[in-house]
Amino acid sequence: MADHLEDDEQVEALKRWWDENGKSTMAAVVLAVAGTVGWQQYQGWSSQQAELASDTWGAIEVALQSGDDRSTEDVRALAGALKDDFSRTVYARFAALQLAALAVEEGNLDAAESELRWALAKEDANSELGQLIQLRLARVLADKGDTATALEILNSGMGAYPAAYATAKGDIYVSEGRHAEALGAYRDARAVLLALGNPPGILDTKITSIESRLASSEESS
Amino acid sequence: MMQSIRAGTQNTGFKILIFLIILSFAGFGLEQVIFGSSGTSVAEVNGTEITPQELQVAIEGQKRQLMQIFGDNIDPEMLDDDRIRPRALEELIERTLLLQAATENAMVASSRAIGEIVGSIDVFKVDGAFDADQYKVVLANAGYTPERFRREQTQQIILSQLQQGVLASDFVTTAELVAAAEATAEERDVRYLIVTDEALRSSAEVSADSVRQVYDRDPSLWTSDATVIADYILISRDDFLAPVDQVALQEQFDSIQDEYTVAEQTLIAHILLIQGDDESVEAYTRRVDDAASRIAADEDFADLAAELSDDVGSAALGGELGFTDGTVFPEAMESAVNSLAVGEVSAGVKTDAGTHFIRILERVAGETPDYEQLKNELEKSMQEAEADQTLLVTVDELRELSFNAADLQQPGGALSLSVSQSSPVSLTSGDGVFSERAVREVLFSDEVYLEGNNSAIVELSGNRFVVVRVAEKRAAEILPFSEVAKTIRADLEQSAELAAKLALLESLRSRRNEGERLEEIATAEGYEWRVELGARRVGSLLPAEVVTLAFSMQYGMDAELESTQLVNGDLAIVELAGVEPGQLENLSLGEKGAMSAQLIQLQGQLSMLEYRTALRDNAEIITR
Repeated sequence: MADHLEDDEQVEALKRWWDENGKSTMAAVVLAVAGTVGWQQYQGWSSQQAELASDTWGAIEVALQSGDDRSTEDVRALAGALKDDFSRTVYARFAALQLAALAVEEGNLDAAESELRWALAKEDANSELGQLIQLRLARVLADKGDTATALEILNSGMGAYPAAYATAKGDIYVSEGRHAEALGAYRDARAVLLALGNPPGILDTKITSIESRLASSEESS
Repeated sequence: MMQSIRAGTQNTGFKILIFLIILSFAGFGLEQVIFGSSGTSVAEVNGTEITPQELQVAIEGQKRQLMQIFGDNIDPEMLDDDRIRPRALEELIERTLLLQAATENAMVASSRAIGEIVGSIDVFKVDGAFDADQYKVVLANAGYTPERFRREQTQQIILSQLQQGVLASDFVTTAELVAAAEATAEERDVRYLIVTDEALRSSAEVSADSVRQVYDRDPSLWTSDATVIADYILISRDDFLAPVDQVALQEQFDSIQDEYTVAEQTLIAHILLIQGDDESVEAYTRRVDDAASRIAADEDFADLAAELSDDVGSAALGGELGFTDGTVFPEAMESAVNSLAVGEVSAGVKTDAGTHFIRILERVAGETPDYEQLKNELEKSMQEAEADQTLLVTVDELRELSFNAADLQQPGGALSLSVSQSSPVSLTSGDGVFSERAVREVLFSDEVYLEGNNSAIVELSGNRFVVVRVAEKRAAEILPFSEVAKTIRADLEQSAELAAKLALLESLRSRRNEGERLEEIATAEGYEWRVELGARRVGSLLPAEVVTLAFSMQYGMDAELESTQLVNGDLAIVELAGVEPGQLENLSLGEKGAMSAQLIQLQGQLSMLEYRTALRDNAEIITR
C-alpha cells in the first residue's frame, strides 16, 4: 500500500509514527538490551560454576586412577567440596556415589546409605541416574539386613535396569535362603542380558549351582 | 486481521519480543548456516541429526581400529564400507544419546581441561612447546576447524566423565560376595572311571564285509563332482615373439651403444712456458731448456710447476689439469698424452699457448660393454614390446569375434590361434590353465556352463589371456568302491564307536541302578578309577572336560552317570557324589580380592549397559 503514497507522505507518516511510538520503542530496546546483558552475565556466572565443578570432578578422576591411600583422602576432600559448593550439579551426585562406594569398601554401611540418600534427594528418582541410585541404596540396605525395604525398593522400580534389579533381588533371596525365588530372579536377569546380546557373566554359574542344590534338597526333604 | 497486527506492533511488549528475535538471529552461529541442516542426514536422534560426513568419519575410524587389530593380513572384505556402516551408525547413535544425557545433566568441560589436552598433544608442539600456528596447520591438514576440534574434545571429556560417574562408582557388598561365593566356590565330590580309546576302538571293529555292504546298498550316495571338457584358446605374449628387423635392431643398438661405452680417462699435469711479449727467442728457449733439464734431473714435478709454470690456474695445483678422454686438449697435447705411460713426462710440446711439459698422473681403463649381451638384451626387449602390441591387437580381435561366434574354432581359425581341449575340469579342480580358480569360475558361470556361450576374455597373470567354452558336460559319476572304501570305513568306525560308548554307558547306568557301586564295577571290569572330593570350578586336579561336565550335572538320588570324551580320546564316565555351596571364608585373600574386583566390574558394566539401553528405549530415533 506504500506504493500509493508519495515520498513526502511517507516521510510524514514515518515522523508521525515516531512521535507516537518513539519513546516506547526506545524503552523496548533498552529493556531488551538490559535483559539480554543480565541474562548473559548470569549465564557466564553459572557456566563458570559448572566449569569449576567439572574440573573438580576431573581431579577426583585423577586421584581415583592412582588409587593409593593418600589419593583416597584426596577423593574424600574433593568430593566433599563438590557436595558443599556445587550441590546442585550432577558432579555433586557423582561425588556422593563415589563416597558411598568408598564407604561400602570400608564396611561403613550407614555412611554409604546417607551418601546415597543425599544423592537421591538431589535427583529425580525416576530418571536413569535416579533409578541407579535407588538400586545401590537397596543393595546397601540389604547388606545392613533390611532386606524388606531393599526388596520394596527393587520391586517398585521404574524398569530402566531390569537385569541389575533382578540380580540384586536374587542375591537378597540367596542370603535369606529362598533359593527357588533366587533362581527365578537370576533367570529373569539372564533372559534380559541375552536379549540385549550380552553374555550372562556369572549368572550361569549361580543358576546351575542353585539348580543342583535345589534338586538335592528336594530329594532329602 | 492486518489491523490487529498493526495495532499489536504498537505494543511495547511486542517490540521487546521482536528485538529479542533479532538479537537471537545476530548471535546465530555462521557454522550452523553453512554446515547445518542440509536435509540429508542419515539418522536423527531426538531431533539431533547425524550427517553422512559424521558417519563416514566413524566408518574410517572403525577401519583404522580393525587394521590395528588384524594388521596386514586383514581380509579386505572386512573393510568394506557397507559392512562397517551399520555398526558405525550404531556407535554414533549411542554416542549422541550419551551426549544428550550429559547435556541434560548440564555437564561441561572447562576451557582449562580442553587446553590441557590440546597442550599435551605432541603433533601441536614445536621444539617441545605448544605452537599456535602448528596447531592450526595440523588441524587444517586433518580437515578440522579449531572450533570443531574443541567441540570434539569437549564431547570426549564429558563422555568419559559420565562413564566414570556412573560406572566407576559401583561397589560390591559382603552379602553379594557371600552369594557369589556360594556358586563360584561351590565344591563337588567327583568320581569317574576311564575307558581308554583303544578299548573303545577294539569294541568297535568294522569288518570289510560291512563296508562293502554299505556301498552296495546304495552306491549312488558316493559320486564325483560334475566335470566339463572345455575348449579354450590361451594366448600369451610368448606366442607372438617374432624375429626383429635386423636393420632396426642395429640402428637402435648404435644409438644406445655410446651410452654404455666409457672411454679411457687420463689424469694429467703440465708445466706451461709462455714466451713473454718482450722476451727474446733466445731467452725463451733457454727457459724451456732449463725446465727440460730440471725435469730430466727428476726434480719434483709439482714443485717445478709451482715455480716455473706460466699457467697460473694450474701452477698452484702441482700443474694438475684434470681428466681427459682424448678430446679435451689440443691435438698435439693429446697425442703426447697417448704415447706416455703413467709417471712419464713428455718432451716440450708446442701449442698455440706455448710449450707444455706433460706428466701422466693416473690412467683409468675405459669400459666397453659386452656387445653381444647388450645386443641380445636389446633384441629381447624390442621383441617383447612388439609382441605386446600384437597380443593386445589380437586380444581385441578375439574378443570381437568370439563374442559373436557359436564356437571357438571360427575365431581361432580367423586369427590362426589354436583351440585346445582340456582334461575334465570340476568347479574345485583342473589342470593347466584350469588350475586357476578364476578360469574355473568363468567356465561354470551361468553364461558359459548353462547357456553354452563363449566366455568373456579372462586376463591372467603373466600377460596371458584365455577364452573358454564348454565342449562336453560330464554329469556327476558314481565312484567305484575302491575309491570310497576308506571314507565309508571311517564313517562306520565313528558310528560304531559312538554306539559302543552309548551301550557301555547304558549298561553301567543300569548296573548302578540295580545297586552295584560304580567303583566295584570299575574294579571288576579293569577300568581306571579316580576320585576328587571337594573339587572347585577353578584349581582342581580334574581334567578340564570332567570339571565342565561335573559342574553341569544334576545332583540327587536319581542323578545319572554322564560321560565325556577327554582330549586324548579316552572316555570318562562321571558320577557326582556330593555338592556343597562355597563358603566365602574358605577363599584365600587373593581369591576374595579377585572375586570382588570381578564383581564390581561386572556390576559397573551391567549398570552402564542398562543405562544406555534405557536412554535408547526412551529416545526417538529415525534412521534413513
